[in-house]
Amino acid sequence: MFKMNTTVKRRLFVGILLCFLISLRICVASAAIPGDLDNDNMISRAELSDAIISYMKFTYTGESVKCLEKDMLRETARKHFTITVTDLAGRKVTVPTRVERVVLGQSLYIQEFAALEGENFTEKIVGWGSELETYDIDTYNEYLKKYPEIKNIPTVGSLNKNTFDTEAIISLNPDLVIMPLMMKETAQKSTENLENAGIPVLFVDFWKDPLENTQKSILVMGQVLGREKRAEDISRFYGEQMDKVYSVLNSEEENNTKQKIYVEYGSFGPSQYGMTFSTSNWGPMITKLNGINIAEGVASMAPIDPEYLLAENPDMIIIAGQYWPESKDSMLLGYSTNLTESRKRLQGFCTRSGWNTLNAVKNNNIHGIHQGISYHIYNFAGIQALAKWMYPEKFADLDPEANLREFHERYLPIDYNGVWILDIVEAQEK
Amino acid sequence: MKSANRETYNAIIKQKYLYFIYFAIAVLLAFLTDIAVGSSSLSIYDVFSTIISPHLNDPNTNVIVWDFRLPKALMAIIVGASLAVAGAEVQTILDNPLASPYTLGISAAAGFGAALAVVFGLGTIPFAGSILVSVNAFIFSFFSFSIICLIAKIKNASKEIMILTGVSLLFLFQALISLLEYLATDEQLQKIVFWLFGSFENSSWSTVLICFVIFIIIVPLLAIDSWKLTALKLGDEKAKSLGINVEKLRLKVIICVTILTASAVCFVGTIGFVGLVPPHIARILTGEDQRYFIPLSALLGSLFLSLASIGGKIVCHKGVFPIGIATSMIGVPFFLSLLLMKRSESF
Repeated sequence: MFKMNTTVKRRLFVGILLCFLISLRICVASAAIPGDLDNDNMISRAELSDAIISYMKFTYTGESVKCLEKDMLRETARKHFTITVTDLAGRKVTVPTRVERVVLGQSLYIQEFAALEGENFTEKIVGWGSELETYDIDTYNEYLKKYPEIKNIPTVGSLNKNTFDTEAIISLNPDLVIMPLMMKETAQKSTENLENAGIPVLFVDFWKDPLENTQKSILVMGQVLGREKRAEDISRFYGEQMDKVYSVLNSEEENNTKQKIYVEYGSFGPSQYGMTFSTSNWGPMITKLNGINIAEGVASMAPIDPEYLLAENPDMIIIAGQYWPESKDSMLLGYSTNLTESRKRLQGFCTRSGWNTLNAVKNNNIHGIHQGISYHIYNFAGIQALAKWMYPEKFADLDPEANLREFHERYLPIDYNGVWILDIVEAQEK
Repeated sequence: MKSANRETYNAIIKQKYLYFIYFAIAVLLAFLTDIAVGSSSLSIYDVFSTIISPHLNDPNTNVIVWDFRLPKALMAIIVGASLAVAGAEVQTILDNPLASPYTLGISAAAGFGAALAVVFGLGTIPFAGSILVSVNAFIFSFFSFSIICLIAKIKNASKEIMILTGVSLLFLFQALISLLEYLATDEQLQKIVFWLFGSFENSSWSTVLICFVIFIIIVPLLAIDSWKLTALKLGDEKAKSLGINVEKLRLKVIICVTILTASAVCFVGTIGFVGLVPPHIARILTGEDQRYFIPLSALLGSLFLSLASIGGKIVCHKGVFPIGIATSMIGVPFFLSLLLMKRSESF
């Protein structure tokens, strides 16, 4: 009688499990729900799998200590407790319920990841691409101040430079790799290899089609990370912010006098024309707001012909900025900047030959905006800023900067600092 | 008999002068078209009235014509001529149809210098600013050239050694450029790639002037030796027997070629085709006589770069089309058709 055979053991286990699940249901009404770690009176999938793991650990202790170590249990949970979601590439992706080890295929996703995971987000990142350091050193430094440990997160190369190291990712043993949809073609082979190694790959998108995919991406990230509530909250906030623009635009008659807008990536400074945006980043936003993007038709991410710019005579010029320490006259924006310096840099662009004849320059309709706003979860601030610049009367009450600050306060572990959205002169002076 | 020879000679010379006239007119037409064509819809009348009386027209047109179109069009003419002459002379002294400043690694070295400035240097010298890229490109062309000279000196300036040294340097500098591209941030990478594509966008009156001055200093220096260079085509031994110091001549030409190439390339980036093909076309038309070969190469180089500039503007009228791509796409089909039509072997 003391020696049960395997079948009996299994049946017993299933029985206990059922009892446990039923007891969980019953307990919902009471004040403290067992397993409800964040006390929100809900058992999320993550919490449930935690509860089952700890239950198994408790039940089987003493019988065979060897197979009860947490890693083993995690492995078991990973295999048996999974959910399936549809990612932004339209693929069905099956991930463990309890995702604890994540590789960010692009480290620029730090903002979205931190927004979902909160203060202790670094615990879950076991590896990431090198983009944050090479592309947005300002945000990297800002996080580094509060989270020195990000320096030790292993980098796995970069998809952009074709140095993505699939082997390194496999050796990190992640539960999930999050990849940018923009790089799907480049990552084809890596994706196959990772999936063959049993590591799920989730494609999300904040770049290719930001107006459509931002909410979807944050929601699917929330699902796989077991942060559905947080994701829904962020998505709701995002939706409200977008509605501030859309509701006004839709209620008005179609604007016939369309404004011509030129946007440039201000990385080269005034001396050399930087690339402009035809179909990516700011381009679709301008079109959405009924403006004319004069760079439409220019090869994607190529510089405009200066002569064409003068001939088109745009009504508004927007210089997209970032923090480029190596270039002393580039458009400086971001966490570690100040208004005086940023405005001086923006004014520098007006000294280009022929620009004094442009309507935008004559009317001081020149603005700076942080490039990162266009490809992050807070891109609502970008479309708000554009809307306010294009239709100052309609959007007089809209304050994109304050909304961006609010997003930081509500969801991001770091504080809003520096200059992100900039007019060439103070609004009153105009 | 004697006068019959004389007549034949005169007829040939006349034919060669006619080529000069044809191509000079072609270059002039290409230049004027280059000024007239652009992404803004200025009428031809507007353009030329602005050139003649700059202050009568509106400032916008003025800027377009005087700050954008004229320097770029002139730059195309001068850079085309410089690169073609450089290519012609490299082909002559090395007696190799594949030789060009590109083959000698000079362009690649300039590219490396530029990339180095973009990745590590830019902004470290406060006043150098954006010209640091050009300065660096120039310095590295010279560095590459001095290695060739040094090795050539040790090995008696033999042409095989020069070509092999040049080609090795070409690969070395290409590898170094790739290394820098690998190390660069995305913005730097963009800048390097744009530079390597070649572009007239950074042309200004000062760059035009610098290239022009260098061109009119260097070309007479080469022209003085035109007989010696013609003799060199007979082969080193025969040239020596005619009393020519072949090693010295070769080094002198290499110095001139380097200065010409470096000054052109450092402002517009690497443009591969112009140093190679126009000299061949010139050779097909006039033969090896340097008195005609040098100027005709120059004219053809200018013509090609002007045409490429026009082509680029037509293909891509809103953005900037990389000139290096346009040159090869326009020039190569033309060159191949010429090769097919050619009657005799002249290489």
